Amino acid sequence: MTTDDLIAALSRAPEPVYPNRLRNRILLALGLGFIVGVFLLANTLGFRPDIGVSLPAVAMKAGLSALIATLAGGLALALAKPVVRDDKKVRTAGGALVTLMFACLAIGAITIFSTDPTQRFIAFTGGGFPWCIFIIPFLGLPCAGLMVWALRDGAPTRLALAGAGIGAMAGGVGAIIYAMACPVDSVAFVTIWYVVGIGISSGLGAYFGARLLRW
Amino acid sequence: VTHISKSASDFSNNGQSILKPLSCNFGRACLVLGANEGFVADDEQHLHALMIRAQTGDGPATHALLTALAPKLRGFFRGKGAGKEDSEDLVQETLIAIYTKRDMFDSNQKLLGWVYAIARYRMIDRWRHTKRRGQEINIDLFEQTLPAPINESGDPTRDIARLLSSLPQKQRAAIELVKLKDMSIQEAADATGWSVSDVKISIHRGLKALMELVGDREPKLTKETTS
Repeated sequence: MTTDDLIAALSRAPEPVYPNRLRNRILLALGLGFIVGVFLLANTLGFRPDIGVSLPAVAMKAGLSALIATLAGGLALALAKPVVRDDKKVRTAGGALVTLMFACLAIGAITIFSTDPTQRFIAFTGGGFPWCIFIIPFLGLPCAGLMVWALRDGAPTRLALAGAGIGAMAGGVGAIIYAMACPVDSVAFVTIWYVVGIGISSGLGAYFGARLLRW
Repeated sequence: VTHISKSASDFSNNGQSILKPLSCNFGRACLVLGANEGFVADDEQHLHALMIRAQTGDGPATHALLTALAPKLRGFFRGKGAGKEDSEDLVQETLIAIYTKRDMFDSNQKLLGWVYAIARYRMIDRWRHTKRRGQEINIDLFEQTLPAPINESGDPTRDIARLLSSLPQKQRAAIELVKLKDMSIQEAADATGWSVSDVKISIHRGLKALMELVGDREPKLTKETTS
């Protein structure tokens, strides 16, 4: 078949497009991913027993995570479509995301150094190994899977970067969910380990995204 | 070219020169004229407008768009060092991708940037397939041993027809009737006894499957060099 024949075949009776399909799929991935993640939490770690009393702390942690998830979601949405090297949307969303995450780490570091030296280690680790760096990506897994499904329907051209965006978004969603279980409310703990957890999720996303997002 | 003249004339009302966008259809002339800034801007604007119309299901606009893009893509792949055969395969894969993913174009994007992003992706994807199989393609050598006939409109005997034959029967039939035999969707529905929406869905699924086959397929060149 010649290229001209192919063009003729493709342009015969084309269908009109549905402009919001990608956005709807991403919203579905976000909503359903969150719900499944909450079920996952309820059936594994369970919610923190004092969730009613400590609601402000939970809301603060979830809020920070939601902010990261939103910026990462914007990045993933921009990268779901073919983009040029220095695409403005990608740069804005990516820049904002990276800045926010480093700002969190900086706040964490400042908080630790302004803590009484005897209390520093406890504030830093939350009194044990910060398991949340693995739990956060785990709880974001349903969201990540659905995001891959959403983006495969799109046309991402920078797969690792798109995967990193998906990972950060899913990590943010995972962190919102984990906030409902996590008993540690210290500022340093949250701004450091939550962000590290989301970072790990993002790294995993970049690795698997480069493979799973091919179309 | 008649298609394009028709669609280009539709743009005369926005005050743009009709002649400039038209000249991009003459293959190489385009490269020369491309040096002119004004022409590049017009070209982008013209193709962008065609894409917006293609998104609404406008057949002639889709035809004009793909026809204008084919020589540009050919030049792009040849410029990146792909052989004639290889580059024609890539041109076809990219055109299919542009068509099936046309809903992934935002009207506030630059069309040519979008097109070349897809072209680059398809090229990298092809390299990945070749690399994974541990085979090297020596493009220069291949070109010397098998000089392909120069044909401005693209080489014949490409393997889209072979790809089509690997689709499920219903999807293949729907695509063949409507896309290749020029039937309307209604006529195809009457001929097969399927409903109109059934035919539409089969075409849509078939094109999607075709897209996936293109992605998974072993590059044609590799087959030939190993067989």
